Amino acid sequence: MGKTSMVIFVALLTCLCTSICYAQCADGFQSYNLHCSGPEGCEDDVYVFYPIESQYGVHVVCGAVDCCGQLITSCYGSGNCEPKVFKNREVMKQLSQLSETSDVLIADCEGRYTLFEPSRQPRMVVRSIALGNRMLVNDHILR
Amino acid sequence: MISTTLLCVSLSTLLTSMFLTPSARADSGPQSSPVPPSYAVSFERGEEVPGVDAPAIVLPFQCVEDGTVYFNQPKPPDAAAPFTPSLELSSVSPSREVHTFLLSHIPDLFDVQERDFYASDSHVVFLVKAARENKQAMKTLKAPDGAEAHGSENNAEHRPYILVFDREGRYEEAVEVDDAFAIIKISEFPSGSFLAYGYERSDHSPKLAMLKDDGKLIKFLEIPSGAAPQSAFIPAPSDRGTSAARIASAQFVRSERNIVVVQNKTDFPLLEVSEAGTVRVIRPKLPEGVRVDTLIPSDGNLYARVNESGIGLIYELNPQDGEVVGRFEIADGRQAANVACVHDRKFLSFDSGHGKLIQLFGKLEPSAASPKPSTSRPVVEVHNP
Repeated sequence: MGKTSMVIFVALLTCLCTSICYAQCADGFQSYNLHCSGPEGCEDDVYVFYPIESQYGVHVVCGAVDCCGQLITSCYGSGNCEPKVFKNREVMKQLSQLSETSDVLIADCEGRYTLFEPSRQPRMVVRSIALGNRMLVNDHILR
Repeated sequence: MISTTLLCVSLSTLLTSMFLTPSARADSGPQSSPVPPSYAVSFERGEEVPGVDAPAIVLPFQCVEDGTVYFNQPKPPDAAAPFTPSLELSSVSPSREVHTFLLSHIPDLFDVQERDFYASDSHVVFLVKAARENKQAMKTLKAPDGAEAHGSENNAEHRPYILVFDREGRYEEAVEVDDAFAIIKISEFPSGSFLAYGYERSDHSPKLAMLKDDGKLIKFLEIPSGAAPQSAFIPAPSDRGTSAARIASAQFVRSERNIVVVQNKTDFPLLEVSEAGTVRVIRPKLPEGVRVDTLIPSDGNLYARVNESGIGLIYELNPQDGEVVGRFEIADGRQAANVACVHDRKFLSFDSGHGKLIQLFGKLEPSAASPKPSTSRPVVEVHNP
């Protein structure tokens, strides 16, 4: 057996990714209607957006909208989002070395795993590594 | 004495049959609560939708009869109005045809700010706030941390309007809306009249109203007692130090010729409103502690995304009595929020995680899991205004 069948769960990346994806990437937005009151009898409603945080999706930028003279946080998407950790050459190198002897599974922020495939970098086209095992199926991350 | 009693019973029966809808009458007999079938839903990737890059989608999606899906995207603010929210609505047909609905060039309206939209089979309508004039003036704005910002804004009076577009994104008309109450959501019946949801400015009580196609108020609809909160405002911590209050979220979903009002993430029931203005209460018979987050637009029963965390879970409900008739667990760790619609019992979703929008088609497989149905009896309440 040239390659061990041992599967390594890269838990470390889960931790890294948690800090990376927080408030930086979103795969959707939720909206809220806010009511505010201000000087001179001002009463108004404003429609604001907050990211549904994720490792992938769009890059999140937050600004502010005016509601009766008050600035209220609202966010929007600005271009594709790619986890920074996988742009780090050293991390990539280590993962590539590891993957020569083992199957390396990488967890995303939501606990889903995908197989690391160095030959298909930098766009890691992902495939199911365990047909029939829903928890491991993921074609959704790390692009 | 006996004849009087018989007369009362007959009258009561007659009145009951007059005021109950046919569907409600059909549910008045004995009910059984069989365990509904359970399915696992896995998704197969379809084609990439051309022309939609790095989509930032405001959930939930809307969907119409032919399977065309609508979604809003929050956009970077216009440089000329840096503190005004900016949105862009797009639609994707089953054949991946994309249309965009632009609010930036509406004749005779300035500073158009979207508050809501609703897609029907014939139109797309927007609820907006806009001004008839453009009176730019410098304004000082205050951030939650006390910092001040200065910017130019349109100082003219802003009023609510309904903007009507066709399905291909062509603007048709602007209708000024009766300002009798604060409207936050809009929808359109097949007849062209509107259903609006909002709140009374004096006491913040939630309001449902029918509007004519010219925006004039037809009537307020009486929400049955106990079927909505006393205030549409949520007593929650303010937004990062401001005095802003959150307004309870609601959703309009079409159900045949009626519109169902969803009071998202609450224990309040669904309200089905007919074109005639009848409000019918639907109490979903969900397992204990499970609430409806949002409904997924469908061409049949009601499909409820629920608050059970960890897994994407959808319950199919009979719109007549709220009984659970199916349970769907979303596979692959996906969330139910990404399911756009159910058409002919086929689940349609999208993957937007790779900077592209890709169609996903659900595949159902029977599952062993079964819910614990509520033991409460079905309740159908009918209210005629």
